[in-house]
Amino acid sequence: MTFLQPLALFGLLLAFAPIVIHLLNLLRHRTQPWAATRFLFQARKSSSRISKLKRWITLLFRMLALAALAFMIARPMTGGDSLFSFSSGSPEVLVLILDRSASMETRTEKDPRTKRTKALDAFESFAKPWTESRLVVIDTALEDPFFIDKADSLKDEALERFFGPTDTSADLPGTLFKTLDWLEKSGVGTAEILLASDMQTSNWKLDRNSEVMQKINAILTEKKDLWKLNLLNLNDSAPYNFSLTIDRINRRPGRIEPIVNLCKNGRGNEMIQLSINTNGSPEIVDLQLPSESMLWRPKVDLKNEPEEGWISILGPDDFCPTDNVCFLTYGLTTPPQAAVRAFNPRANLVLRSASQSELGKVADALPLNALNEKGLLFRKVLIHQGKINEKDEKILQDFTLNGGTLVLFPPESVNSPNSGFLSWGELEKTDEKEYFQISGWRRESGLLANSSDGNRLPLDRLNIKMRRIPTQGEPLAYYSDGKPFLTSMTVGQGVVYAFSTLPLKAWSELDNGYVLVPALQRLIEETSSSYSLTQSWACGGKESKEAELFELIDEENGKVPSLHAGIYRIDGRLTAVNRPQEENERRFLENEEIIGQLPGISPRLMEDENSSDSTNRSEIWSFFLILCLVLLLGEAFLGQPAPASPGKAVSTHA
Amino acid sequence: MARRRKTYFHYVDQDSLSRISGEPLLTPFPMEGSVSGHHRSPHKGSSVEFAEYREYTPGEDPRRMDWRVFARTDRYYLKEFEAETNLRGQFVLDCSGSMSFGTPASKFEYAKKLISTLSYLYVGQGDAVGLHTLRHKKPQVLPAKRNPSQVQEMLEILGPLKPKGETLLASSLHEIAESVRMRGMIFIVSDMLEDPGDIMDAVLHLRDRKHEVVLFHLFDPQELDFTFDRPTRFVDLEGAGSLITEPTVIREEYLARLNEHVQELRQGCLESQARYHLVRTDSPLVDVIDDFSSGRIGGKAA
Repeated sequence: MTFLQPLALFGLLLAFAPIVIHLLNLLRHRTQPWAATRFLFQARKSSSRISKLKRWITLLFRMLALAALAFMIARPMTGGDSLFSFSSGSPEVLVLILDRSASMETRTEKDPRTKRTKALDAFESFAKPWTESRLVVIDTALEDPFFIDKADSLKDEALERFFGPTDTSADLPGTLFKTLDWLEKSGVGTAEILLASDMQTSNWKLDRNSEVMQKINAILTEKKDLWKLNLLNLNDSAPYNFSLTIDRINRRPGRIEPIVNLCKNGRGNEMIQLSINTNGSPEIVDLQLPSESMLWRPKVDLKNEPEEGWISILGPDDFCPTDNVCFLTYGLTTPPQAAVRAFNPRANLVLRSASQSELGKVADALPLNALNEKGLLFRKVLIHQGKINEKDEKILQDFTLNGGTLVLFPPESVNSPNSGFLSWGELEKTDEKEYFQISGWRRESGLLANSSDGNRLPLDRLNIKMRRIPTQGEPLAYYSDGKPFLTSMTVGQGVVYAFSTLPLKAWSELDNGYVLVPALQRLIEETSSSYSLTQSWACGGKESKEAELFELIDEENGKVPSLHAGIYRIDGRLTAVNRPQEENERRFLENEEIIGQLPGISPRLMEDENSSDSTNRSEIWSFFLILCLVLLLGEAFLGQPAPASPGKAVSTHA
Repeated sequence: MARRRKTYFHYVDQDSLSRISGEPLLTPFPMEGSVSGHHRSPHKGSSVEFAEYREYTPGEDPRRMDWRVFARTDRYYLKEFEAETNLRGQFVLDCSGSMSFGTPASKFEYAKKLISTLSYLYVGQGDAVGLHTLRHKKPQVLPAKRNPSQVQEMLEILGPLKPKGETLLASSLHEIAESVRMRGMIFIVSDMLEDPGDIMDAVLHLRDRKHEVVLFHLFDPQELDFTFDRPTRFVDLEGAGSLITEPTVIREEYLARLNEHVQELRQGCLESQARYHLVRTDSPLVDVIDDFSSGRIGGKAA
């Protein structure tokens, strides 16, 4: 509990006034000659304990009433660390860490306000008692401190760019850490930090951000009495929500076939209307949505459309409008020239055939002697089998760091030295008529995902006789003994995939193509967009933030690629900016999970409610006013002279 | 020039006299008097009230023989009549310090008026009245007489009398019971601030002596209501110390004790056939006399 007028607490001395008055009264007694003193002595002697208790309670009530009055004038506030904190309670700075991710635009059936608006309202109430503090807002999209004069100005339309809705994701640990860093650099003494978020799991990524959370914990522990963290958890889920995201785009001659992932929650089988807007020409499509999730493959005819253009798909309105739309672009593409460098001739042939282009051209073969940087120029995919010497390793590393995709197959020779780039385990063989079997793989996305018809790749039918397990990377498929069959590893802007076996009869049945061809073709298709004249970005990503010169193509005005999804022309390239995939996450963290990451402090938890009641820092003078009145009433009741009860009054009649 | 003698006749309440005067105040108990009067006597006498027939025993006065009965039955019978005599009233006044309490008039002053007025009424109807003042030093006893000047003598005693000292009621009443031999009427005028048991023992002693006992229990209104509202130091008028207290705190208990005291006296009087009158000193004396005389005026006393 803190006080806005702590000087008024000196009024607590007034609480002793009833005792002083009582003593003075005893000194100022009047003298009364009396005849029937025998009854007085008897009465005092046998005066019941209740009477004495009543007198002391009356005195206590008077004292408490005066104390409550003093507290009321001191304007107490709830939410202090200790019960009585005799400070003026005004920190130097009040900071709002505002989660502006797309999921914060969700609202509930009862409350028309979005979570972001609730957060702004909560900050307004939060800041109300501290009129002398400076107000700073740091949002997750811009991550820059923004000073404001009044908390109620947060919802001004002129400031919508800074506090309005976005289609971005959020990195809350990062933003919190930056906030603390800014407070440190600015030399702020005392600060109250209000972190308002729906606590979407993907916005915290606690598993990856454990180091950042440890730093945050260390800083806040060090500044325990100065910087105080308040958490406002706004994790109310929408009663009904429909969302759509583009899973993949298949380009066919004369048309485009986006694969759209439709999700919903809260309603059963229903007919929905989708609007497909092709270069500004909308077309309404009715679609039956029987389950919570389905893949939809509309075919958009581009025969009468320009060679380069854009498409937006808009779903029906619901309680979270930011995930009802997605954007894509199309244009002339220059398919990447996939290259193969395999030391085994048979493997070289198989890999080149499996990675041929749409036009049926087999992939180029790179010379087996020293790798040439020029040979990798304009290449996006390199399939490599065999040993890697130090010089090659450097070239391949640069290739992946600059965004290239490298697919590695293990060297045949057991004696081949492991490179530092990627190492392989010992060669493992099975007995005759026994095989290594693949038991699990990622079927929902990636290279080994199910086909568009929903059929899975026959990985479990692959018979593998020999293998060398890659020791690095995240498994995408694994054997029945738990060892990885295929791994992926991000290096710089590129990705390194590593298979554990070779497409050779002696090694495995990978050369039959049922698994190898779709996997390599998907890889090539994924990377082809980078070579297109059009491109697709995640809203709020690094590229979108760096885009300074842009032209808004779709109809809405006032949008910027770093904050809003849409179609832009950036650096001459048509660019579709979409809400990040992680915003589709439907899991939210509980307060305990966040508090568990901050063991050194005890963040105050604030309730998700409307207006001033939503904060646990509010003036509670009204409580003391009521308490004072109740005590005075009690005192008046106890202080009433005892009524002359008929049974005890002395009757003058016989 | 002769000094003008101070008179105390103002103690006799004129309103009471005008209300009661002309009607005799009777007593329900037989009284032993020296002369003929209005009150029933335990002896047979020559009044007009027939009492009984009784067979003649030789040696008795033959004048009281009923010759008509002898003529009819040839047997000797005596015809007896009720004797009517006067009353000997003894007023007992408590002169202890506690009787000085009360505003505007003290209980003692009220007691003087009560005694003076009743004395006047009884002497007026031919009864004898006497006075006992109970005090530590120089207790005064005025024997009962029926002279008209008796009232004046009583007033002479009562007028200058001041209350002082401790209460000696119970012990004094025992002494009176022993000293007054002829049955009569004992008026006790006091605030009864003694143990009720002791007082009732004394009353029973008086009743054993065939006296009719009447208690006038005087209270000032402040004693009955106890309406003090601020800390007060109560100083005992009989020197039993003082007490500082918050009246509102002990009021309930005080009234309970007072009530208990009164009830004990009232119950004791009821059991011993004594009359009890609780008197508020703010009530007009005529009402008290009226209350006392109810059932005693005209015809037979209740």
